[in-house]
Amino acid sequence: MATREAGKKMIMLKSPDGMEFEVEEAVAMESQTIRKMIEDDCADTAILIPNINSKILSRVIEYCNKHVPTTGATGAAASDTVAPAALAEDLKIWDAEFIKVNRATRFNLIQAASYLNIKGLLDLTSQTTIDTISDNSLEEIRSFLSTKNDYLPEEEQTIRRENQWAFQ
Amino acid sequence: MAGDSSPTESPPAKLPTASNPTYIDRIDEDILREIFLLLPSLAALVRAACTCRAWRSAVASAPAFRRRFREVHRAPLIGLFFQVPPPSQTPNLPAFPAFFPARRRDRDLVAAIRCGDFFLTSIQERPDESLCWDIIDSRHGYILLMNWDEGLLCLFNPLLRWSKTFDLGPMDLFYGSKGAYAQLDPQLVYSDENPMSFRVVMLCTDRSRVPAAVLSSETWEWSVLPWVEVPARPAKEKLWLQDECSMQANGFLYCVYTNQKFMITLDAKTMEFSVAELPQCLQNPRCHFVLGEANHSRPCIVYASDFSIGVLLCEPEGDNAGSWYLDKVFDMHAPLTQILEAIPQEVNVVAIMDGFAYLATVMDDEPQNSPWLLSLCLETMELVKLFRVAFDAGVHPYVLAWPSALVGNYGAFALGNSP
Repeated sequence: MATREAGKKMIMLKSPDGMEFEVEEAVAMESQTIRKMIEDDCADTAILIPNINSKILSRVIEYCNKHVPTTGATGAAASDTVAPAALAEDLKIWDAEFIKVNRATRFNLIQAASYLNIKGLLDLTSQTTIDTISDNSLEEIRSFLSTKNDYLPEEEQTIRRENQWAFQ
Repeated sequence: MAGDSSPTESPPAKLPTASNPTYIDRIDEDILREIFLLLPSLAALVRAACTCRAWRSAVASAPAFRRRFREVHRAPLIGLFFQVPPPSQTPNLPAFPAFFPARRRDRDLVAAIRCGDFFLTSIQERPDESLCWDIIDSRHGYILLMNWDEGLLCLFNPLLRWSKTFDLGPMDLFYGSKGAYAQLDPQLVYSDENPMSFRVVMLCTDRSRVPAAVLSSETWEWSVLPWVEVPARPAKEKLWLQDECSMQANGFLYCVYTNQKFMITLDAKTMEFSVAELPQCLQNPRCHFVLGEANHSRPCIVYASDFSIGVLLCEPEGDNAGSWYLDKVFDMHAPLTQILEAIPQEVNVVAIMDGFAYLATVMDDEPQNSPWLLSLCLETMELVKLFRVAFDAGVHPYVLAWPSALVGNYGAFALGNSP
């Protein structure tokens, strides 16, 4: 079991509410946004992550820690001895647990994943929204996602009439 | 909650005392679009856009999103319209285009076929006209039908069950013509960004000139543009432009000389004509080719010669129609042998639509050996057999169009009109 090796480059991430998180560079670079900052040498000391509070940021870091390519990284459960398929299965189970959060947290995670450009996390967090839109009627979509219908009745009628096939 | 694996080595972050719940309708447009790209079908996207104004606006305000969505979810082929040839002795018997639905597992496809009027029953309701409608164009969810005997055109949208009938050309079309004159089949010209208006454009010829007649959906009136002298027309022939199937790509209309040496191009934006020599490989009068759109509306020509399929693409040159080059030649012998029970005598290209060419086999004269219709993806060159048909003339693929409601400039919902 690998523990953190000395000499691994660490990065400090700061949330706007003042919390600081020290993470390995490889973990932080799961975010394409942070990767770009590091590659452009804009990350000497600490990186301020705007708009993402510490609660959400800590969850994001948790996700990246789990998903960072496993060779020698912290938290990688003995990657040398576990088959890739089993590892992927393990990740899937972990993801399913990870995403059991309330709606507000989920939407905050979507925003964070989008801002930090972490594709896996965006796919994971928006899957419920995708499923809701894909499998439900308009009324159910509005109620599940608590969006407010601001169309005039005749406007909604027009869109429905012109696209009847999409409302089967 | 997944708290078992220690997330970070830093002290656990203190929870904020008051969290501001952010619901999905407050998520900004870029993120919404990323999420919408993950939707499984166009129908799901339409429902999403119908949920609230902000969501429609996120979809409609970004033409780039439309292209990306189409890359992930190719516009499905709903089916193909065929012109049914009338019995040769009695050409005036009622004739009506036939429709063959595509047979694939696709949610959008099935819903569209069930909802639409692909048997054109709405047009049959007009009792005062003879039922001799030819299909002459199919584009963006509309088909254009021509009733030559009655001098009528009909624009019909099978999914909306909407139709509009109007005169086949203006009265003064050939005023001032010199020598023999002819009119070619009209074509539908449509702009992706302006779904509420379209034009019908018809080319005409006299001895040495072409004019174009244009009908706009704003007035439903024809107007005739001035006659333009074009070079290099064959001296002896009266009908010197081919009138086969509508050839249009990326806002340009094309028409080939009957001697198959030159091609006229009409820029539908500026209504300016230009004439260019055809690439050498197409100049053989026995070489049959079709012009249409490859991926991303790129003009392409596909020809069949024996069992070789050639694809020519157009190198754009600023605002000009561009020049053609041979992109690839593909030997069909092996794939044809693989997917058909018998090797046909010949293969013809019958249509191109949205990155696919449609091919028809020529079988021997045995009646049970009716032609196979095949589709060929122009990107992967994957050949798929669709179905057998008794006829292969006037083939018009019908592809599920991008809904008008998902375009920015859409009537009362035009962006900027939203409260």
